[in-house]
Amino acid sequence: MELDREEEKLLRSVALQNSRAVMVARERAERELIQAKEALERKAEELAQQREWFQVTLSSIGDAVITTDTQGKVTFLNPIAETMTGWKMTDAVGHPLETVFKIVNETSRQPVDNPIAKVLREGNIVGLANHTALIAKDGRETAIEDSAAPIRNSKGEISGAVMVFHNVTERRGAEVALRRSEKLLSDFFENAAVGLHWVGPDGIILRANRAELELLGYSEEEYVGHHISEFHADAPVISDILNKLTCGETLHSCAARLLTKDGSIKHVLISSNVLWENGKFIHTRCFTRDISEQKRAEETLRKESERLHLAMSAGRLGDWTWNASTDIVTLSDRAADIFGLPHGATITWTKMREILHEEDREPARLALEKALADHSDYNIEYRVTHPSGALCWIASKGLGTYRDDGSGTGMIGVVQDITDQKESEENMRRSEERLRTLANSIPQLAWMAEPDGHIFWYNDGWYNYTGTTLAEMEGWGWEKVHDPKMLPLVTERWNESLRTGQPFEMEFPLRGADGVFRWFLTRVNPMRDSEGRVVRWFGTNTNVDEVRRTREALLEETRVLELLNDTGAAIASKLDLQSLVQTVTDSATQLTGAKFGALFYNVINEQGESFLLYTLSGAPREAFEKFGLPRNTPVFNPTFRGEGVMRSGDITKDPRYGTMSPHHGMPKGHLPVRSYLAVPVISRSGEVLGGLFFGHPEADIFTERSERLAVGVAAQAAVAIDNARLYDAAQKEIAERKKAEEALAQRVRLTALRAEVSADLARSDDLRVVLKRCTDALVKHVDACFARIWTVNAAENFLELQASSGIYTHLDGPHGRVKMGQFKIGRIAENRQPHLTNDVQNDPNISDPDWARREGMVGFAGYPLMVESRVVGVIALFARQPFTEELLKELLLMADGLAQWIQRKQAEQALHEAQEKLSRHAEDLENQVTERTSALRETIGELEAFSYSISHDMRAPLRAMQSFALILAEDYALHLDANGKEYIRRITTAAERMDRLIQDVLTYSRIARTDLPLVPIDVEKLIKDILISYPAFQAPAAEIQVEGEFPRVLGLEAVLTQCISNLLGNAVKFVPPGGPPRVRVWAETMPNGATVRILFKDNGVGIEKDAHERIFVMFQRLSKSYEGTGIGLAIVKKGAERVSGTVGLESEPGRGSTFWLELKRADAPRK
Amino acid sequence: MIVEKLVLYAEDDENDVFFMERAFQQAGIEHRLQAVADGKSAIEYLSGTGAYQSREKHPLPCLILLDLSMPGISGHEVLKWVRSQPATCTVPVIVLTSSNQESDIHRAYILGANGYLIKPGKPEELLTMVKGIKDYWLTQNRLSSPGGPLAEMPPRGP
Repeated sequence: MELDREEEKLLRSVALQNSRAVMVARERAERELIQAKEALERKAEELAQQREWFQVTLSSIGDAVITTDTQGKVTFLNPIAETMTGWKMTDAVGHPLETVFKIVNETSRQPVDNPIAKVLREGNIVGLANHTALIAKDGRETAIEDSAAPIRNSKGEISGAVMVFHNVTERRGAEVALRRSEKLLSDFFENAAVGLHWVGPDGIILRANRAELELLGYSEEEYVGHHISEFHADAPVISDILNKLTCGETLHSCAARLLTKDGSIKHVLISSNVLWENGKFIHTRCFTRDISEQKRAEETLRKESERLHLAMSAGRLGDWTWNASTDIVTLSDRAADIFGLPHGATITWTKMREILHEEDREPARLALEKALADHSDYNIEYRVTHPSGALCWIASKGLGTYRDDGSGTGMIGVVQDITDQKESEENMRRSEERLRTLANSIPQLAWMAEPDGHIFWYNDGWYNYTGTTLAEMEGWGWEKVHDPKMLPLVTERWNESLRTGQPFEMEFPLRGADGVFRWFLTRVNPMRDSEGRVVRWFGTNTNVDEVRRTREALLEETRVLELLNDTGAAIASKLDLQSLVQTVTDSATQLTGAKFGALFYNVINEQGESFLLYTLSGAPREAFEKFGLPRNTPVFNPTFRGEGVMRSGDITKDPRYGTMSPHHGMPKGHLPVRSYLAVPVISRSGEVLGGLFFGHPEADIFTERSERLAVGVAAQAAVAIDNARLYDAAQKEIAERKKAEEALAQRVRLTALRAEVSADLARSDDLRVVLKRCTDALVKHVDACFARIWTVNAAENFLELQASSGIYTHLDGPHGRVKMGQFKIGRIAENRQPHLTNDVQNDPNISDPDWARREGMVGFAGYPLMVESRVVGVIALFARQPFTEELLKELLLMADGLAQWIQRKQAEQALHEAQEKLSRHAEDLENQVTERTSALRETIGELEAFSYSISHDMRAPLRAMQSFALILAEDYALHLDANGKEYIRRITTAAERMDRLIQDVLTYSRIARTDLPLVPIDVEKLIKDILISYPAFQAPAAEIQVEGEFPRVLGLEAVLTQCISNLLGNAVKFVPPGGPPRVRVWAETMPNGATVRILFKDNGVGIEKDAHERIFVMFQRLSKSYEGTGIGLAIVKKGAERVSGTVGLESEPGRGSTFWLELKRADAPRK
Repeated sequence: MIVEKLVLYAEDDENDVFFMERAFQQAGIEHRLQAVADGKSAIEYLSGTGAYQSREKHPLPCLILLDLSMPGISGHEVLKWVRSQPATCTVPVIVLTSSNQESDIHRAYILGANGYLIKPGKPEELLTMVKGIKDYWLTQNRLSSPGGPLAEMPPRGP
């Protein structure tokens, strides 16, 4: 295609432009190039300069520098680096770093990565490595620390790396040394044996070592960091400490009390000062020393010292010290007082001795010297003259003090004023002296013992009695002369006394020189010093042998007397003669020492006879029984005659013995008797009551004493027997009197019984009530156990229990109904005989003997209650005591009275019952009547209601019939002919009639129904009212004349109105044709004066005689020709009856009728 | 409430009702005679319930003639009821019955009857009586004016 010229032009210009632009651009570029070149040159120059500067710098610095290129080849080493690595830069350049820079771990010797590799890798600065050692070319080792960094160009690209390192050998060493020293120091602090702690300026514990913590028992957490005052017991102390320290003071051994963990207190000494830096309180340096032990020791020591002082003060000891070399004696104040020397005086031993008693000086000196030399105790007593002139005894004790070589340096000791002691010792000795003298002068045996019981001295009496020597007796030798049986007890008691210091008293036998034991009363008393301590026992033995014997004899005598007394008491206390006498015999036998004894005594029995009984002692009755009673023999006679005491040492040898036959002495078999004692028992009246006889198979047993005793007993016995007799007599009299009294009492009771029973029977109460009162009375007055009364039920032939008092009061038991002839009761009734017994339990008639025995029944009395010969009941009673005659007599009387009463009561009862029956019967009848009446009334009522409603209901349709008939006649008059009208007339007539009939029936029933009470009625007024009310009764329909006076009558207005209306109605109805009815009405009082007749006379047709009755009956119409229901007169009759009146009539056919109504007068009837 | 000229005759015997209507007619009474056959209906009428709810059709009477012997609710009871209602207690009530029992008469007056008439047997007698009723009860006699508080109608419904 062809190009346009235009286009071409355009192209051309464009091309031109372009080429021009290109040229321009090229020029510019060239220019820029030149500029750039110049800049570059400049830069290169700068760079060279810089480089040079750098190199110089690097060469000058103290650290070693190595640079590498990006490959890790060395590019530069500064001189230090050259030195340290041992490589010259010129040699090193271009080599890899590792060759030049060989590093190993100091401790492990393992090669370490050079940091430059890491830098080149990661491009980050790598910090100083630890524990690196550089190994130079020549093998030298240097501890270094190095760091490396990348070299970045202006673009930030890594162009190489630079590493800087330096020699740290010295530093390292220093560090090590430092650490070591620190460790040592720390160890020192921590493990020191003393408690160390630092406290900060604020009081907070900064550091504490183990010893500190252990001392107080805290853990580090519990202690360090806390305020120091927390651990001090005394706030002021720690506060003071802190203050002082803050002021810059140093504290040495400041005492304090610290609180340990477990709460106890530790005594410590604190030494402390403060570390100051630039005037600033950094911390304290505190040392804590536990002085608890010390403190305790101190305390102990202090206490000991105190005690010692106390002891010394108590013992009034004064202490002294003697210096051997100076001879000076140092006295304590108290010691000085003891010596009477002034306090604090300096005095030598030699000088001191001058105040000693001259006799004691030398011994004292020697004693001291000896003690010192011998290393023994110095112990001496000496007298000292006080300045006051008084002489004192002083005891001195001491102990030598020695050098190591044993030579004495002096002595320490104590002195005590023992003047008092010495004095009391002297006193003691003197009193002992006196005692001994005394002791030797008394008849008793005496001795002295040490406080421990060791007898050291016996008086002469002892030796004389026992025939012993001191050597044998000393100490406990006295045991030898004791009865071995008693010795244990003696020893025990003696030891007891020794122990308690109580006086000793005891009786025991001691053997005399002749070998005979005699009883001694021993008394030992302690002797005490002024302080109450027993210093001596002083004992005496008194010979009580004789006394003892006498005492025993006396005791014996006393015993006898007591026995006698007891006997007397026993005898006196007994009133029963038999036992009294036995006692006497027994006692006397015993007292006299007899083998057997007997008492024969007279007794007056009830018959007044006396006979001889006896009591025996010491032998059984049988032994004497067969011999009968003692007869009047020469031996016995005196006694029975009361002549006196007979005593024989051997009766067989007595001349009076054996003179009588048949036995001539003792009967064969008699108990052997040789010693014989017989005493009469004589009463106060002189009567010989009997005799006491004592025997013993041995001879000479009875002494005067026995005699005396027997006499004594006999006397007592006499009195006692007398008393017994009196008592008996008194008893008898009392018994008699009692009997009399009892009889009287019974009489009284019976009288009371009779009175009460009579009174009861007089009352007319219920049978059972009265009978019960009787039985009660019996039980009360007669002491019956129980009493019962039955009545006879004749009809049924049994006894009925009506009353029971006493232990049984029930009426319904097995004896409640007793058949005739059954049991005791029945038999009594049947036989009509009483049954009495005072021995119930053995009575054959008793139905239950066991019961009788159980209840203790004794007496029974049962009486039939009879009226004439008829039994009406039975009375019976049981008692626990027998019945007396008197009582039985009384009972008989009572039975009689009861019988009468019962009969009467029964009759009364029968009558009463009959009456009751009658009245009940009447009541029944009445009830029946009432019932029937009310039933009747009900029926009537029903009937009336019935008739009423029927009549009423019947009238309505009737009314309708009638009305309709009339209406029919009226409304349809035009439509009806004469027949029709006639028929209607008949309908209405019939209906009217029916209506009247119903009304009359209603009236009749109403009249019969009314039951109002009758009241006075003014009949005249009534009649007149009726006449006015009914036109039919007025002129000209009728002529009715009311004549005369009408007395007031009793009636009911409605009823009378009805009756009179009806009567008047009748009167005017039955009138003969032709004239008006004429009726006359008047009243007549009847002859009896109580009733009034009201008469109605008419001029009607009259009524036949035989119809007079019928006329008043319902529905009886006598004439068909006259209107009437036939009820009218029935109504009148009914009405008259209703008002207690009558109706009647007098009539004859053709003569009219006179009806009358007879009514009761309202006024009081005149009789 | 306008008292309408209406006489309510409560009587179960329809014959008697017939006679009464006839008598009313003969006597020339303009008042309407409304008969109800028993006590219940009488009460319904007077209370405006049951079939007699429309007071327009069944206005309250100005005179009530009341037989005593009606089946169900007796005349006496109706009388008692009438006297107990505010709306009807002043409406004259004449007992018209065949009973001449003193007890019935007494009771009627006690319960508030205004008169007691015995049903006559003959129509002419009835007419005389009705004329008398007309003259006295329906002409001369004044009634209690309506609109007073007691003349309000009893509420309808239970």
